[in-house]
Amino acid sequence: MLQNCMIVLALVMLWLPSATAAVGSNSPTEKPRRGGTLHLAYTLDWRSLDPAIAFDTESAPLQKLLFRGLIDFDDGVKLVPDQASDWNISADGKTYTFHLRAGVRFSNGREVVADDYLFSIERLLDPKTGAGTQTYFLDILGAREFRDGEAAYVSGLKAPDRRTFIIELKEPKFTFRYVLAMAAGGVLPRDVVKQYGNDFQYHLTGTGPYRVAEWRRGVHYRLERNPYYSGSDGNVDAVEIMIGGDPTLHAMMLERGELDRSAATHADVVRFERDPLLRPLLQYIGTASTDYFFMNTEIKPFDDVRVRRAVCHAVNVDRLIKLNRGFGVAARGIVPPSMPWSNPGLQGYEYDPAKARQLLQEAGYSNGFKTELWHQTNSPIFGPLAAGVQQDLKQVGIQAELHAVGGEVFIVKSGTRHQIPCGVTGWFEDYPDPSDFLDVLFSGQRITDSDCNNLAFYNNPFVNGLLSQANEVMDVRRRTQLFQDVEKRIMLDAPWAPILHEQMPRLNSRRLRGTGPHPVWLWRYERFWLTE
Amino acid sequence: MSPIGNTLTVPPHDGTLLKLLKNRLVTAGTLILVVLSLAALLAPPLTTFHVLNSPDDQQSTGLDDDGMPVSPGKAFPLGTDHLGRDVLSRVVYGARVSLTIGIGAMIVATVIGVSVGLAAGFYGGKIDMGLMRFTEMNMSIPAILLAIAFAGLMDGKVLHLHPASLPWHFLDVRLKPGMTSLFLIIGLVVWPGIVRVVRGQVLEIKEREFVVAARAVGASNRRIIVRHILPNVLPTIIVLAAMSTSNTILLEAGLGYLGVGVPQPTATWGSMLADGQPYFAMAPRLVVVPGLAIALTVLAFNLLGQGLQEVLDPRAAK
Amino acid sequence: MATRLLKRLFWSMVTLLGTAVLTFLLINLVPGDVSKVIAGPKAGPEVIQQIRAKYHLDDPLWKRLGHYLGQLATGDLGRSYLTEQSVASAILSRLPTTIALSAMAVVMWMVVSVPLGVLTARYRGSRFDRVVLVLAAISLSLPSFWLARMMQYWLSYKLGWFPVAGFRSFQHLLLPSASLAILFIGYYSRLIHTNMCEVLDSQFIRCARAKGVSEVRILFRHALRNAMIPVVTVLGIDIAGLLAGVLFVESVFALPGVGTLAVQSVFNLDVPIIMGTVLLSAVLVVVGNLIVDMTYGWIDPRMREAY
Repeated sequence: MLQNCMIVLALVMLWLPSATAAVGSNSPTEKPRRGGTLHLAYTLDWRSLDPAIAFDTESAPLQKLLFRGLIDFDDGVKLVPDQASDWNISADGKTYTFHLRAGVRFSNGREVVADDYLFSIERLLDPKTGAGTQTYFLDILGAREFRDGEAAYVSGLKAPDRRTFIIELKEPKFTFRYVLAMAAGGVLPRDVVKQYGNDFQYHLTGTGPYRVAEWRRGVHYRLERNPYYSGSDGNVDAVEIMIGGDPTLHAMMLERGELDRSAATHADVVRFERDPLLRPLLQYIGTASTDYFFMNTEIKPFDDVRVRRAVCHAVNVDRLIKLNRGFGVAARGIVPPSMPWSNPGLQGYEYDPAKARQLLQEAGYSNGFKTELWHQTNSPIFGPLAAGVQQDLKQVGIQAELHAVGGEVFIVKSGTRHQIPCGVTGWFEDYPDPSDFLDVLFSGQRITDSDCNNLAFYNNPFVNGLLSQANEVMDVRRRTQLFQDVEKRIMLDAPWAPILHEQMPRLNSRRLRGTGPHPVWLWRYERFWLTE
Repeated sequence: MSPIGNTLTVPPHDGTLLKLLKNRLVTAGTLILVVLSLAALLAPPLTTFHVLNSPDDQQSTGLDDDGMPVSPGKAFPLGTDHLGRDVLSRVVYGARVSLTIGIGAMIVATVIGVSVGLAAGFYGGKIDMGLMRFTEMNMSIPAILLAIAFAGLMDGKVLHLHPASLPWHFLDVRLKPGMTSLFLIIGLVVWPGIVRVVRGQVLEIKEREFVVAARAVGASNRRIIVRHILPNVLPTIIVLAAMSTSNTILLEAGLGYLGVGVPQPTATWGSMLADGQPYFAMAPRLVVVPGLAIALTVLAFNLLGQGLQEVLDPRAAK
Repeated sequence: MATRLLKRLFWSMVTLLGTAVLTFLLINLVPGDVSKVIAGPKAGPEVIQQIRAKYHLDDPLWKRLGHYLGQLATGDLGRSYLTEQSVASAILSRLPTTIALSAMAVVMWMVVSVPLGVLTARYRGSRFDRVVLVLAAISLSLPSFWLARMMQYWLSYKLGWFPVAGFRSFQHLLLPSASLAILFIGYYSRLIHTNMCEVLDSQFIRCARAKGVSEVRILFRHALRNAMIPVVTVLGIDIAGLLAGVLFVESVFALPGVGTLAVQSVFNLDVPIIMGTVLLSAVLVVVGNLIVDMTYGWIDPRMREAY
């Protein structure tokens, strides 16, 4: 998935594997303390926290405080029952049956019944709601008909008694279970939503560990414990959320003890890294992504493998990482190391400008050459990366002229044959399988004249053969072996100079614990706790 | 005048004290302005002869290993900014923007403000009423919001000033974000403050004997305005002009700070200040230096205005 | 007198209506697509179409203006395009912050300006007077956002004397209002000085002196009272215009006030909120001007002829 899609990260991250799940509190020996008020700040107000409407990275951890559903992820990516006591999927993979836990109540005290679940999904499918997550629920039997107004109810949703809820799919779909664990799968009370209609966003009522105590749009929000919540989540007594101020200001407030958590700018990352007293407050949250420099193997001089290898030797990855300190870790290969089946042994190309110059000379470019380097402007990181690569190339005599364009233009241009000689961009994982990188981005059989994801237009029959073989093999070890071979072979042909795997820097106050990253939710506010 | 907002009332004038200080105020203001103007004028030739670094280009040693700005030293007397550009040369080039827009906008505002004030005060009655209501409408919209909205208007839009049926495309005005657009915007926002003062003066002058006498001998309205009223309002206009320049410069800086001023990479003090903010804790100079530059320039115009008022304002002279 | 006031009130209403129309037309001339802002970067064309239909964005301008004015006539300011919050409640929830900030600033600058103005008038031409004059000129020349940032950095962040930002208690307003007050102290101390000088030179003060009234009593009882009349009218106008003045200070200190709301709404092209904040400011300015004009009329009958 192309890099400018951070907004749907919560969904993308659903497919993340457990490898990133370095779970738990900062120091696992400490036992979480209950109590205190967690102070958070957001630069901009969110559009809504209604689980049907908001589904971006920023909102998801907050939504989980207020809304809960049938199932949830554990500390990794394993699905466990949350407000269901148990659940099972029929042998044909089409029918999901849930039994609700007894005594689960909404924050207004009313007991949750199966009908509320039925209503919540119907509401998502109702076009009047304007739910962004609607498409994920269209696999339910009769969902399309209901959405299009051809049916009065969704035939695949049933609540035979107060505690049993059944979902029937049109056809078996393995990934549907993850959809139910999203924030959008949270249960809402039918009566309250009906009462307030569009104003429900001011009367949010759910089954999460917290409930709304104060709701002043664009000013501040206060959440407090939900007295009717019977689960074990939720360490702090209250959450105060301030709206306004930029990350720089939030970092200053955090240092003075006015906030417990904040985003960090590049400047603050460096400042916190350099100061031994501040360093422990800095946390990096990794993502399964790769930012890379691609060379179009169909455009001269990048059709020559020696030129491409020269470029790989010329790009100083460690310098680029330092220049963008805190926003990524060095990439030695193509597949992010957090993925299963990644290639931990891969070393990548050593930074060696002398060798690069020698390779260029062998290829007949002893005086270097001129080219265009394209990147998109709607990311904070591609611009600095492109400028850095430009300088590195200059060192070996390659004069690259920078072309910065908007995201849409870049996608069209870079996906069209014979258009862009080289550029900087990134790829975010869609599902935890190396084929998402190696097959989607490097298969010669996938090359099209436009809308092509293989930006290098790399086509190696040997690699193509290995890929189709790997896609058919079901044995995990054999599959791993094949994909690792593919990656090594591609690195040898050097259509890419991989640069970094992105990460998100965050600052934590001295008293904040329990911030261990979560592979799906990135972090879970309900696990946060305060030492004082 | 008020430091912020668009109200501009009769500036306070000091009695005896300013008489003592008047030369010093005018001299101090003029001196600062001469130095600033010289810097602004000489910046391009100084760059050509490599005395000054280019303001918009990243210097090869302009960023450290972590991509952070470089502290002041031999190569860069005021250090570099977040993109590795020379802060000193950006401050000097910023003076060009600030002075051009400040003075340009002052001229626009003065021309409109004086015309409206003269007409309202001289003709009185319905004209006065209409003009003053229109002025009040303009004053009611907070200046800075109006300027932001206007700045958005300048985004490459073409204004067709000819009737749709006629192909007089030479009348099309293409609006682009840039200096000319900005001083028009700021001028359009500042003029209402001048109207009230000018109108008040005209009301007073037109009752004086010499105007009444001129009228009695049958002088035309135009002659009365040009020969009798304007010369008597002129001192006030000059003082107002100097004082509103400090307003226009602050407004330009404010727009640059909000990111709607002259577009990047042109160096403006307001945008330098905004860009420097994330680095405040690491390199306070990135915020301190452009702010001082703004304050100094505005101070120069304020001193000049106060001094001129003492020297020129006829009421202070009585 | 009553008819004059009525006439004046009528014209004030006309001004307000004119301001509403002018602003509405101006904002709608600004190129940019609010539906894209509402929908977010990933929305498809059908979502954008839905939004455009919902807010009648494809109607001709005059029709939208008519719709808006009709709505305004019923006292309804509409709802924010982005958050769907009612404009009235968005403004009301932020107004207390702005009012508290402005009120504290006004008190601070008057508390400092009055003694400065009185004493510099009493000791005219002294070294003290000259120092105050130069300081006043400097205070007039500081960019508000810069001063606020500097004070925040040194006094709050470095020294920890005040909270850095946000609005949780009145303590959080001390530094923001002080930074606002400093900008006005220069102007007001000179304004009071000038008026005091005039009053002190007048006949009746000389009379009082001759009668042997104590100096403190002369300065603060007789002279100040007379010198403050014009000052108070100017203060009225400035308070009305403060809405625009607090904008930078609010944004530096992340205070949830009307100023930040206004700026954000202009950047987001959230027309209902822009209109709401502009109308609020217009009402303040028009009322301020009304009061000033009426008092002018009493002081100087010549000014009456305009109305």
